[in-house]
Amino acid sequence: MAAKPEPEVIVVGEGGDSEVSLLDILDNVLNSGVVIHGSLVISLAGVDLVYVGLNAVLTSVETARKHLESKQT
Amino acid sequence: MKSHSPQDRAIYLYAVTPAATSRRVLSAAGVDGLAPVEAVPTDSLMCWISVVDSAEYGDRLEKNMEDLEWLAAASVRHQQVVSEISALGDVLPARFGTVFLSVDSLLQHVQQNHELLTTALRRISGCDEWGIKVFAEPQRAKKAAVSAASGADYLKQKASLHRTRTQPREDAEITALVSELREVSNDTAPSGKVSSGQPGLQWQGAFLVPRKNRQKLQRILERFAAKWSSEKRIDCSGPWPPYSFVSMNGR
Repeated sequence: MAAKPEPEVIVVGEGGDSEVSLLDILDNVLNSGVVIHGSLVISLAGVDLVYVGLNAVLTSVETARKHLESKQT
Repeated sequence: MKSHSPQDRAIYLYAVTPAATSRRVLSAAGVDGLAPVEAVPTDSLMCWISVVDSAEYGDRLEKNMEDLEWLAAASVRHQQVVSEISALGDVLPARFGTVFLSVDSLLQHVQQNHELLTTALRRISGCDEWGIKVFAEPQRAKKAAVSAASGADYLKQKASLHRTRTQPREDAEITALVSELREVSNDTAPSGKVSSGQPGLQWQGAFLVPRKNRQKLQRILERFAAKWSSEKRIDCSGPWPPYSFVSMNGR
């Protein structure tokens, strides 16, 4: 199987953590990307997550990843 | 696998690619973690989709997106699918939650937007998106400053440090970095609605970088990181599918 080009965070210089956070994924998949309106009209206008609320997500993305990995093996 | 009757089914779109893209079977499952991802060709484009439950991804989608557990799992799966497709060549990633009632209605919409989609594909051809964030690092520089007489003083001083950390601001140094990054990029875009509240974040943006310029990008970042040393930290994430550069409203 070809290697998947999963994005990585590259910390240039010292310090910081090198994980692609769920923040980055959400920034990309929720706020950008081609918008072709479906027949079901879906408003994303109400989606305005703030950083504070996302600590919970950062934990659950780990859960999601583990879940996905266990499924793939 | 759970099967859906036609009225319970909806079609979830991940990406649009050129028609010549090979129709490989992806190893990643769809956004629901169950259904396989399929490639549906139009005359000149390829749509990457999976079948989802029309209630979960239609009527209840907004509600579900408020459930962070649900959103985390679904958005990571969306990204994994788009990532795998982008390994096959140029890709226009769809925004999370682009759902159609049927394959027919999907094809009809794609056909209607055919010109815009092809133009967008040409624009991002051969490029990756890179996300750049610059963080202030006052912790190291000002650590010595927190030497308080009392616990209350200590907390006050910590709080003031935190306040200075959370004010995004662009300075001349950052402007210099951004202008160098622009030279190796085909385009730039603002980014980071969700992560804009990260502590210490001074600046962030997305760059559309031709793959051949990847080394140049890295050298610029290394040079600035060395220069800034303990004052600022640069986080660079990528390569991403060009999420920030595919909107069709003339950007």
